[in-house]
Amino acid sequence: MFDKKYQIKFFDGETPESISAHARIVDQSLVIENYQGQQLDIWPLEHLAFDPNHLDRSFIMCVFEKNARIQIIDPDLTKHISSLQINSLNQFFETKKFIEISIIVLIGLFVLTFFSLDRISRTIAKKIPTSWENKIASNIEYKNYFDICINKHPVLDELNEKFGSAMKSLNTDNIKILVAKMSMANAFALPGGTIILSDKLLAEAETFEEIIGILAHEKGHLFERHHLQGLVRASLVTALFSILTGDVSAFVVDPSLLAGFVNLKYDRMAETEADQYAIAFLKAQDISNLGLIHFFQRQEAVDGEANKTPVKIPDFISTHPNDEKRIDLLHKNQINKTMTTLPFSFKYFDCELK
Amino acid sequence: MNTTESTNLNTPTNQTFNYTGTGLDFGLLMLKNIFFSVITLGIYIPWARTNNRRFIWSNVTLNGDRFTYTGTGKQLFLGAATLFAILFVAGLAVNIIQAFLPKHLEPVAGLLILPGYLYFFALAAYSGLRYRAVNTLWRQLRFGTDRTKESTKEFLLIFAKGFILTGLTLGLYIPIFTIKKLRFLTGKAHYSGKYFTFTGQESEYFLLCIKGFLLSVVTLGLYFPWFYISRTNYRIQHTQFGTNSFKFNLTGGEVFVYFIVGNICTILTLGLASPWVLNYWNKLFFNNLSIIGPLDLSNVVNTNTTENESALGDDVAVEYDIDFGF
Repeated sequence: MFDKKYQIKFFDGETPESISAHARIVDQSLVIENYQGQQLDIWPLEHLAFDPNHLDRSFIMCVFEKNARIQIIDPDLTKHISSLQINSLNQFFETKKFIEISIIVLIGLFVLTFFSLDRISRTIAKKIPTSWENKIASNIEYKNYFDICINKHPVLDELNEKFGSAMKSLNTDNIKILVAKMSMANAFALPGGTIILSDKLLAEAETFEEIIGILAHEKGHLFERHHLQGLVRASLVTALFSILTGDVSAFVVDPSLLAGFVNLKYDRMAETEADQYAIAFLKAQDISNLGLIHFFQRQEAVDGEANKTPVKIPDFISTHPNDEKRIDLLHKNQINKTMTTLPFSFKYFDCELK
Repeated sequence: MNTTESTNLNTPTNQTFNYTGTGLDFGLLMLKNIFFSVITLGIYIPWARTNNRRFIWSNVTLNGDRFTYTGTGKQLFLGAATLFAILFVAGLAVNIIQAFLPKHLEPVAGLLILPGYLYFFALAAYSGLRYRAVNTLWRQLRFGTDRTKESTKEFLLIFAKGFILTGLTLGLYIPIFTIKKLRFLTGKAHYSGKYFTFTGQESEYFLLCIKGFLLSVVTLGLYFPWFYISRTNYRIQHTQFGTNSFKFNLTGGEVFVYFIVGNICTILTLGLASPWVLNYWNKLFFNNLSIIGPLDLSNVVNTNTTENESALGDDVAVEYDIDFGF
């Protein structure tokens, strides 16, 4: 083994010559010879080092010869010199190990961050004082985003009259309920304790219990502070990816896209939590949850129509749990009580805009 | 068997460049860079940039011999720190001056800094190129760019004139400015004492740019890859190293396909494919570059150029995306 000749390229550092040569390890030296056996240089093994400018460690230098290098062509030479336990060369192998461990740690950190993100953002969101939230919310003009009806919907007064205790429990003193003109049946919980119900949702609703169920669901979002959780989570994910992509400009990834993608999963969790809050609330108030079931059944029919289109949205990228699962959850916790039908005139509420 | 493959004086064929890097290696390097950049809150970025350059340089070969990049992360870090300090002081100075000026004269303070910026950009183009040249080796001999007080003054004059005329002609002067810069910078560049020259003409490059620009507009940008190739080709074909000239075979069609496929792959993989995409670009570029005829390396000897060059110019060039024209 010690007489083996390894193929190398030798650069003397003084002329632009690329010399195809051999290297041999003799005693404690690396002997460099041309193909005619003429010795070109001799480097003591203890003074060998990898050229740090070649990350693949394919160039070796002698620390006392600043400019000369050998390029390893035969990979067996690397194996051979690494087996010699030369201090200056071993540093590299330790570095390599360190890099491998670092990469494993990085992947571990990614996985940990992904799975703990929800918990972290939930904790932070719950720690944000209500006064801060209200301050943020006071700067948001909801009328810029929604067509808010300036006339009051009669259902709200009726709810206070017929379900006073439940409405009080929903803390309606601190919650502002607004009705907005929209082409779809929907409801939103917004920062600062604002719930927006679409006029279409109210027009399609059949019972008071259905509206209370929806309000309880939205209150669930406010109670769990999902709106702030989303904000915190999006900020964390965006910050993380901004740091990650700050150096490597090649990573042409829009951080908000990634933040949004990660958030989809949490939105589904949030919806389930809000459903559970609504179930518990209705149970405590002894109000039927069949109204809410009817609402989701109608939604299921609408979604079913939408899904007849050639492109069906797969469950895992949907922001909402599918209606069937939500209905199942409500059925499992069914509260059968009589329900109060909404007056027919409420269907013809004329939303006045500014 | 011949022991020396260096001068190849009797080889009549072209001398080819090659890129040997793989996407996987580049991706792993990026991963390492990202990890250290994150845990050091960005302080590692100059070292990461150095690693990228070491990887790319080391994977470019000419006649089978690899290039070497000898710049260090520490140099780039010090350059970036100096740049930050200068920008901070300049910003502070403008704010202080503004505070003492009447309201309607406040924008004047901003104009006062303009010569400073001009000097900065000129420095970036000249010193930045010098930094990279001095830190590039092939066959263990260094490239370089001459710089003296006189040549710096000369370049500043070209730069200031180019800057003003570009503004006055609404950008029409850019091609002429580019050629003047290239002629100056190429003329100062050398490989261990053997100099490069640039033989391009302002009028030819101007017409080429006007044609390319108009066709790009008419085709709603579709012509842009061909425009890019015609500009790059012109620059490369008019660069000479001693008696050797360069040849570039990449076509606009190849750039167009690369751009479309590369972007689609990058988007579909949320950026994970970018090391492969970038690596493929390096491959496309260098594998289509060659030196015409036998390489004349006479008069090339170790000039013992120092590698302890300030990286400030390079940092400015990176921060402001300044093109050296090479």
